[in-house]
Amino acid sequence: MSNFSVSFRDEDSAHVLTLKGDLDAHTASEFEVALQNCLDAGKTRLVIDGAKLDYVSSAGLGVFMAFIEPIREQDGDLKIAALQESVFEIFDLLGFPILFEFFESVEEALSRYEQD
Amino acid sequence: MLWTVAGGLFAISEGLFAVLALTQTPPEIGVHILMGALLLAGTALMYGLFRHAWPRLAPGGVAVLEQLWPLAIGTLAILVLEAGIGVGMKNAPLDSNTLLPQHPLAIAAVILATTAEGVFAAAVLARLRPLVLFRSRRVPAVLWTVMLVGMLATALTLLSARGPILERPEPSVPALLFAGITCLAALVLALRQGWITTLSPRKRLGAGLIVLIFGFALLVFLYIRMKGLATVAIYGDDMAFLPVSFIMSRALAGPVTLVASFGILFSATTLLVLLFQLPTAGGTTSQDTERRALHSLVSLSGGELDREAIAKTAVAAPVDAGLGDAAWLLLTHVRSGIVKPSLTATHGIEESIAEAAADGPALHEHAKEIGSLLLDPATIDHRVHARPGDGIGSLVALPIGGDGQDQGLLLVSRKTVGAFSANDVVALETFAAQAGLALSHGELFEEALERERLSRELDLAREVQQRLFPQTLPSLPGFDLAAAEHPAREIGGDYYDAIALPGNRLGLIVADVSGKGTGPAFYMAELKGIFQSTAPLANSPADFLIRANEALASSLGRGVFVSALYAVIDPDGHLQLARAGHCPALLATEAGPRFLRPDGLALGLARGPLFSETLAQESVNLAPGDALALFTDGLVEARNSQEDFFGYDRLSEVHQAYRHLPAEQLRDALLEKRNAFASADEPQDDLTLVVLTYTGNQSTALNP
Repeated sequence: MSNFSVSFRDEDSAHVLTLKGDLDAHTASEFEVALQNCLDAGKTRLVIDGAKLDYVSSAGLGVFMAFIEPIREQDGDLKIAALQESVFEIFDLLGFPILFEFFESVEEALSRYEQD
Repeated sequence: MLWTVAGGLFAISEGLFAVLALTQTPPEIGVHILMGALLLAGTALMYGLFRHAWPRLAPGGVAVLEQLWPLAIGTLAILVLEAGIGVGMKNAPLDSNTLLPQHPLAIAAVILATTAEGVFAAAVLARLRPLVLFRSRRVPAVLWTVMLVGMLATALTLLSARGPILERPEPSVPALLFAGITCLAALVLALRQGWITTLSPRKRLGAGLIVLIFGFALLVFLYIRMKGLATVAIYGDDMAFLPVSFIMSRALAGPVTLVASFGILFSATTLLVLLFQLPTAGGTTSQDTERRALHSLVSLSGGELDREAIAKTAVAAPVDAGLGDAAWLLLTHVRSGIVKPSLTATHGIEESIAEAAADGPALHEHAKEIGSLLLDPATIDHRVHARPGDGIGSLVALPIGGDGQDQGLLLVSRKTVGAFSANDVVALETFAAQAGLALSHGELFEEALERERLSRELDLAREVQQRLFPQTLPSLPGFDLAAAEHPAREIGGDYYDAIALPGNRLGLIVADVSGKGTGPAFYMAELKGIFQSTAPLANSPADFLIRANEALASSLGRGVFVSALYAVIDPDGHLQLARAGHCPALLATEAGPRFLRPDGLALGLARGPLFSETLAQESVNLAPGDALALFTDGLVEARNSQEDFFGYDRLSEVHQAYRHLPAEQLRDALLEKRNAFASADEPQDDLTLVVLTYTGNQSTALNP
């Protein structure tokens, strides 16, 4: 039903997680595992590449909320980039831009890390 | 009470005798008969009382040995007693004329001997009866009565027997007749040895031993009564000897002799049967084994449904029935995810030994294919790791399965090699099949219970959810209100409420909790509580949402959030609205449709000042005819077959077009359009919709 995948890539200033497909109740656990792996490996400067993310449900949003505090406690952050308009709308409606930094592109997010 | 009667009968008779003996008065014939009759009556009564006092034979053979031991011991006891009395009486002869003992001690001894014999005869008969009549039909029971009647009849003919005692009197014809009948019946009854088949080989050995002692003691008992130690000397012309038991009355002595003879006959038959049927190493008759298998099955059919109880019975029953020395059970439990058979119950063997004794899974695989596995000797098979001291000489592995399901493996062991006969294995197979059925029945029952519990949980959650929505909408002047809620198939997390606030104001709230299931429903219940109690006290919609955020902060888990939109409208049309991460409100006016979307975080996303700092509030003045729609994302996110969303644009089009309708009709129109768009094949979200048409304050209309 939903195809979902998470892939990693390392950049100089941060680690990028590319999300593809639908992030809903069924696939949220996969995203959880990916974020937990990053935390365990000490990778706390993260950028979400959401260009191919088609949909996110409240369960998916819950994963963001669950991890943001632990990540920030380790002096890291979770920045979100390149969301499709409809997906960004979902985040925006809930007020997520107040809590997370959103960027048009992954590059912008990365350079934001370099500035810190 | 009746025991006292029996004792009384003896007492009267013996009291009479004592008086007679002390006064050395030979009794009249009438008195003699009376004494004898009283003794007989007392003995008969005691037999009846013994019969009722002692329980029937229990199956399985355990109680049999318990019944036999007293027989042997009792016989030995009376043997010793009579011998002792006889020896003691050697120095206390009878008077040759009166044939009564002279010395008071001798009198007492005679009384003692007579009483003991009476009790002994009654007890032996009562004890032997259940063994002889084990599983009998009418004929043997009748024969038993015949035998008893025969004994009584013989005794009655001896009541008056008082002839010259130097020679044994010729028994009268009636006496012989009755005695003969008794002996015939006794012969037939003595052959009834069916009770032996309930015993396992080991118990048979014990029984044989006891019966040997019993029978031999009886023989000796009979001998010393007639000829040997238990006789009394009569001085006079010649030294002669009279059995102690004859002194008071020959009537009692007769039946006692018959009972003893019967006992000897019975013992002899038992020993013969045991000798010929005693099993060679491992072999038993098939009938035997079938009976024992049946017995073990009976234990299982007790109707147990509890898995643990069934497992315990499954390992205990074969051992109790004598089909093995030890048994242990390995079960799978697919529902719990246990796919490999694991040790569930043991009997007659320690858990640690059972675990290590054999490679359960390997045996299980093999046994599944061929039905049952006999490993004999067990230790040479590579799957058996038992050590010599573990007591596993031969081993049977039986697959357990019912209704085509595979449940696990039952292992039954015997200490010696070659101990399982083919019949034993067949019996065990039958048993294993039954155990499998019992387990699968228990499984089905558990599943049914679980389903019912789950469905009741769901029903409960649905009920809770239904109660969250207002039963009636407040009716306030100037407002026309309508609402709809359609939870999706799973229990959803939507909520709405309408409240009349002081000053004829109307408060409307719509909320949506993240996630589905019973958890969100209970968060909604909490929010409803907060709303009902706090909304009337809040200064503004924003104020309420801030308080709600604080109140919910501790309950909502990490990653759980609630979106909500709260609007308050005055009777003169002044609308205030605050939005915590929820869908925007839709307002249809003369000038066109408009979304009200002030900034705000959803509840539960931020504690502390961040929430209040980022929460905005919007104000609008409504004109009569304006229509407000509050909703959850199920309305706009309805999908059609092309995976398009209904969307805000279509919604506002319809809302604007139908805004002049009364609230209920406007609501229905919106729902209709949405449902027409949505595809029934796609999963849809919960849908909640509140529609408010502002009809205006009468006073403002009249006084613009």
